[in-house]
Amino acid sequence: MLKIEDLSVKVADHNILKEFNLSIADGEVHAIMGPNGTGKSTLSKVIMGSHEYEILSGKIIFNDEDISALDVDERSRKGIFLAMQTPISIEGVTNSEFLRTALNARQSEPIALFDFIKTMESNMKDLDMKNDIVHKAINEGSSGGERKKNEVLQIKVLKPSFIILDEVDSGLDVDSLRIVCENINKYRQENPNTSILIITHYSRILEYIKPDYVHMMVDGKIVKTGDYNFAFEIDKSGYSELVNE
Amino acid sequence: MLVLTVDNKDKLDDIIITEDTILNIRLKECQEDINIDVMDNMCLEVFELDCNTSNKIVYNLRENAQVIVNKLSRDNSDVTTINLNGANANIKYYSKIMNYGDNTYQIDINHLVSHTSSAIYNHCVNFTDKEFKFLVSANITKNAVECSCNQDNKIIDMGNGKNYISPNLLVDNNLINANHSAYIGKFKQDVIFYMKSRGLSDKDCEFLLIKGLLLGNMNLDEKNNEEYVTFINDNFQVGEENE
Repeated sequence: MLKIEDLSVKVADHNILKEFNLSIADGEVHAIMGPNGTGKSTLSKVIMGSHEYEILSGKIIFNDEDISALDVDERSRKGIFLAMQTPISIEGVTNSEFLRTALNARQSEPIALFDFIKTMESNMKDLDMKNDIVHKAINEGSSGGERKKNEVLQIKVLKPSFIILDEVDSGLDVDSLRIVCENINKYRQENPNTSILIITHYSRILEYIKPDYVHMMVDGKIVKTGDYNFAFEIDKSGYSELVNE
Repeated sequence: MLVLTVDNKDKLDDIIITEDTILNIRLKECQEDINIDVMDNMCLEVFELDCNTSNKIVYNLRENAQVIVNKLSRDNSDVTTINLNGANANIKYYSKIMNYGDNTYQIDINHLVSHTSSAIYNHCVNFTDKEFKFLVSANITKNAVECSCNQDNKIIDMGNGKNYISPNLLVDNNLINANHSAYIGKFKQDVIFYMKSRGLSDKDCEFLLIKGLLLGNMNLDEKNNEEYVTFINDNFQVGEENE
């Protein structure tokens, strides 16, 4: 599904990713944990194609194609989705027209309005979202939890094959976290080839979405990899102790 | 509620609102003097679609008059004066402009008595390298205590145009609430990144953001919304032909 080879990235004069390597197969769930400022969110934005960063060397291969030179929207239409840490609000653009335009951008025939409404209603019900959100501007006046649910709604409607969850657990109460994770798990069951990269500080989300691999990232690269239990080892010992081992 | 529709064929000099009214204004390529007097306790909602106008429009609001103006135009150099003459007079004024030529849009708001309220939203998308100016002045006199006066001015530059906003608050009274903001620039990069990360092309992003800016906040029902969207579509295409 996704292969990152020797990727080095800088912003301004700071090297953030340093010969970073990661390989994620179809249907796998990987988690990356690491201290603040180590480059986790940069990694997610670079995979998505953000122009904020300069790629110095290396490649991003997605489904056997080098996507390093592709623009953000092209990567999205190939199946990559970044659920953002802080989803922004967009004045005057409703969720309905935004998602319908996004859906139409990835299929040859535009979706019929009735089918679109049915899809939205069913998915919003799963996420315990109010129906009137479709007519509201994207994330305007929404709480942190509502914004994260909106990200998952977009996943369910757009049906990506590779999902990056960048600190999707931040700002969520216990009930909202449960609903968000249940919906992501349901999506995985319905689309078993979907791969997920979870970026998080805490093991709590990994109790809901169980990863196949947990990586510890420090100073722009992965320094240690383990299975699901490694997340709890990190929680117990802290990053600095594990780095010094 | 009375519904009035006026266009270039009508005699436009004086419109007196003596009952609650919806006023549809459709004007093209004209320079008219228009006075709109809203009498005591009356509500007026205006839906205005204009092209290439340089009108002088004066709104006079009497006591307790309530006015909402939803104005969308292309290439507008109108001069609008709003006189809040009666206590508790209140206006919400949305002016959204698609600009392709050299234009100056001027609006003056005069709070002349106490407890009056104005909220003015001037948003423009300048599609070309031409010059566009917003000249916005709110004048709050010494007698006008406990007024509320807000302005939000924004120009989105799509073609390296020459853009100016002159937002003025002339306040001669301490007991009032006043705010103003002004922004000139492109659509923000983090917004474009977010939209593109869902698969929207640059063109799709621009169109949705322009439509959002131009129609955002306005009080449009389904029928009006359709007409306003058609206006944007028609004039957006004109812009593409000009490129």
